[in-house]
Parts: sequence; C-alpha cells; structure tokens
Amino acid sequence: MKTLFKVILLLVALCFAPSLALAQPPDDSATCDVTVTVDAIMEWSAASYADIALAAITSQTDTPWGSRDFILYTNCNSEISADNTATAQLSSATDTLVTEYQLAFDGDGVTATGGTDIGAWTDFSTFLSPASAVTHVDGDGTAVITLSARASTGGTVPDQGNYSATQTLTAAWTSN
Amino acid sequence: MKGNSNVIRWITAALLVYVFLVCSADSIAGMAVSPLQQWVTVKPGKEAVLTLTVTNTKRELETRPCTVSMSVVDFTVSPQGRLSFGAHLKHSRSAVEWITFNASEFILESGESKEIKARVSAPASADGDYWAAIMVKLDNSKKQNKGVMVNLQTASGVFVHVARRNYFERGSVTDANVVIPEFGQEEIFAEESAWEETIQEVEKEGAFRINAELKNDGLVAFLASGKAFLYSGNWRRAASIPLYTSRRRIFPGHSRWFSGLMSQPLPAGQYKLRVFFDCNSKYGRKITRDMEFSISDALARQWAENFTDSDVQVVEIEPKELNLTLNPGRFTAARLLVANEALSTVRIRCRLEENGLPEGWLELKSAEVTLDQNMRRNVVCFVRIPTDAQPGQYKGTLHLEVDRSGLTVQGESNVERYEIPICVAVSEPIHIATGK
Repeated sequence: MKTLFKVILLLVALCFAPSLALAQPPDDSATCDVTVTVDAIMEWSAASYADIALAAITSQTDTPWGSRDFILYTNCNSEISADNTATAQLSSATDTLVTEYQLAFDGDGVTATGGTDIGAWTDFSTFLSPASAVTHVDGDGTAVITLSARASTGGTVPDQGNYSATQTLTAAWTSN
Repeated sequence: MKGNSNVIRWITAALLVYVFLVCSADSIAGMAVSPLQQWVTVKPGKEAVLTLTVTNTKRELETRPCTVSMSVVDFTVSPQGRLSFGAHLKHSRSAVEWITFNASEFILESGESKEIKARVSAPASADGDYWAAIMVKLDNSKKQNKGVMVNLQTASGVFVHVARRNYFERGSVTDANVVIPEFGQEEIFAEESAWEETIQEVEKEGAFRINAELKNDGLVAFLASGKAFLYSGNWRRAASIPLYTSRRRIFPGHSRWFSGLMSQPLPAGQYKLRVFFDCNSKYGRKITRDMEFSISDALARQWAENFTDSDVQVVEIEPKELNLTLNPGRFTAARLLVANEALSTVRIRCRLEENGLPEGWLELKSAEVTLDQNMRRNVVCFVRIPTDAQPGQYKGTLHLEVDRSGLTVQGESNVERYEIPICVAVSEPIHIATGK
C-alpha cells in the first residue's frame, strides 16, 4: 500500500510540475580559468627500513660495503650534505671502523635532474663537504640517489661485536 | 585430519607473515616539503605567520604512513658558501627562539598533506635581519645494532627581516689574493693569505685567479656581486674578471669568498688590481680593495705558449628562443640553460624587453647570474598571464649580456650580447559546456 501511495504521489507531482520534473539543463557554457602556482618542492622518498646492511668482517682485509637508493622528487636546484660527525662512523661500544661513503645520481644535472657522482670512497668526516649540488632539468622531476657505505679495519684488528652508524642526508636550498 | 588442518593453518600463518614482511620492506614513504626558503617581514615586538607544507605523496599502492618530525635549528654559511645546521651553531642573529609551531611530530597518512603554520615573534629590541631553518625529518624509527642507518631530512630556510628603520648595506673586503700561474712547477701566491680549497683547483688551471673575501658589516643581508679590474701603467685598464661565489646572499656578520678566473695570458709588466663589490644597495655604494703584482717576461712567454683559443669560448645558451602556449590565468616558469665551457668566469646580466608583451607578464627570477668555469645554470623567467588576457600572440625579447673574463680591447670589457625571442601564445579560455 505504501508503495502504491508513493507512486501516485509521484504521478501527481509530475502532473503539476512537469517542467520541474523533466527539466533539461539550459544550453549554457561556463568559462573556467584554471590557475595554479607551483612553489619549490623537495621530496625525499624511501623504502621502509632504508638502512645499509654490511656483511660481517671476518679478516683484517675485509672491506664490506652496501648501498641503498633514495628518490628525490624536485622542481628546483638544491644541494645535499651529509653528517660529518662521529655519528656517521661505524662504532661499537669499544671500537670504531674506518667508515667511507659514496654518492651517485642517475642523472648528470645536464640532460637529466641529478648531479656529479662522488665516485671515490670518502671518509665520513669529509663526505659531501662541500655539499653536492642537485641540478634540476626541466621535464625531469626525479633523481635517484644511491648512497653507498664501506667499512674497513684500517690495518688493525677491531674489537668483536656489532658496529653501527647513522648517516643523515640533508637537502637544502641553493643560492639565488 | 586434525593434524593436517593444523599444518595448513601454520603454513597460512607463515605465508601471511612472509607477505607482510616483504610488502612492508618494499613499501615507500615520502616527505615533500615546500617552500625551501621564505622571507618574513615583522615589526619589532610584533608577530607574523609563515606556512610550510609537508606531504606524504601517494605514489603507489604500497605508500605507507610516515612519521615526520620538525624542529627549528640554527644554520650558518661558511665563507666558502657551505651550509651547516645544528644547535651548536647558535649565533647572535638567530631566529630559532622566535619561531614556534604546534605540531613538532606527526604521522602523515598515505596521500595526506599538512599545512604547518608557524608564528614568528620578534622581540621589541630586534633590529635588522635574523635567520633559522625549519628541519623536516622523515623518521626512521627502526633501531638497529649493526650497519648504517640512514635518515633523510629537508631544510627550509626562514629569513626574518625586522623592519625598524631604513638600513644601509655595509661591507668590507677583509682579504684578497691573486694566484699567478707558474708553468712547470706549482703556482705561487702573490700575497700571504691563502684559500685552501682553491689551491688544488688552481694547480690544474694554468690560469690567473683572483680571490677576495667580502664581509657584511651591517645589520641586513645583501646580494653581492663582484668584479676585478686589472690596470697596467697609468691606470689603463688591461683586463676585467667577473667574480663568482656559490652563495651571493651574505648575512650580517658573515663573510664570503669570491673568485675570478682568467685564462688569457697577461703581457709582462707591473699591474694594479682593483676589486669592486656591488651590494645591490639603492644608494649605489661600492666596496673596493686595491693590490699590485707583476708578471715577469719569462712567465708571460710561457703563459702565452700554453694558452689555447678554446679557453675563450663564450657561453652556450639553450634554447635559442622561448615559445610558450598558455591559457589565461596561467603562471609558469620558463628556463634557459646557460653553460660556461671556458676556463674563465663569466657574468650574465639579463634584461627583459617586453615589446608587444603587456607589462608585468614576465619577471626574471634573478637579473644576474655568474658562472664559474665549466658551470651551467638556469635563467628563470616567470610568466604570469592575467585571467582577462585576450587570446593572441605576444612577443618580447630577453637580452643577455655576457661579460667574460679577459683582456680588454681599448679599455672596454669583454661583453657579448644575445637576444632570445620570447613568443607567448595565449589560447582561448577553456569552455565547459553543460547540457546537450
């Protein structure tokens, strides 16, 4: 009964206001100005647990190394610096290891966004000092940055145990 | 049967754990920060607000939430233009304690963006320019006991101008030296001071280098540009050398090294050298320093023998013209890549001639670019089309004056001029038709 009542009510409404019920949108056009301002953006993107694992040192001559990729999405020039303090050096409770780093870009900063590779193993205390320039190239907003770390004994027999370090990469603005 | 179902249950559980571990290891988290630097003007004893946007961009299905921590830190710029961050760099013009914001640590869900409003409160006694950086860190909460843990962070500079009165840009040249090439053996410094980072480069160059250190003695930062002029007897100009630095903006109390390089050989003789610095002052003040040096006959001969014309190559500019098709209301940035492939420093002054382009549509980000040897940079031109712009073709010209290091001819600098045509085609507004 209720359904029948609703149908009848709808028919009555259609009879009284057909133009409303069967209304067609009028022919019209709207002008839409789409404006957006894009500011300088810098985005780090990294996988979970983006740490660099190194194999165990089992002899004095071992130099294990490992690397990780990070993605920098950017629309401007920037520079990347590293932590040059003892925090970036592999250390245990009682000893330290010689800790060196490298940095590589997938782009050269000329044809694709990126920069010049730091291809030589560099001690943590001078790594990315001065900072590495990242040059943005139009149409390419992505730079893959590979950070590599290497441990060595420095000719001595280090103490047994686990060695860890924390390296911090900082992206910052460049000059006018 | 019961035993089998238990086995299946265990295998399923193990698979789930495996899948979870694999997926979480491959999942991505991102942290976009914008802007990278901003300027705030505030009156003494008053407050201003600045905004910083942090986004965890959803780039793929596996984008995971991330924890972001923010802090205000001091930074300093070394005389070589290097930025360093940290609480230990506290200085008398630090704005760290003036900047406060509510959220210092928060979780950004996949695709979430957060606008952080920071309050800048200037004390009543503040006077001039102050600075700090907001450090935004992508937290890596996993603690490990071996290997190298990597943290990623982005620094956003905040420059606070406390407008108490009119300021004069004041600076002084605190040190200067020239490095004269000595072929067949290591170069020597003509003056007692040395710039360590330069030595190794100069050994490879076989070119003349001038280094000068400019200090900001005032209360406000300034954008400096420098040039050195060489004069032979009777102050006749013999050469001009634009000076390059990696960061032209010099904060109060900071100093910055500028250097200029010239590969063209100098004839033998006594020279006077004058270094000029322009601090972008509206009062047109120049800062200068004079020094002298000499070139021996033997050195002049060797220098000339070792010189090759390729060192005088001027800049490469790409593209040769700018063609843009834009809708009314559009704001964009057009870029020209300028490359200096020579063993000399060059300065490029940029000037817009709007011709048929209405005033205000084009704006240069920086009217001057200085390039060190083998350096390339973008000249950025902002293009802003008003919403009521009429469709059509608009033309303008970008003039580039390339001033390169080298010997002057009849006292004139080595200036070469380039014209880059700009054509902006304004298209019809987008029409959205409804109905039918």
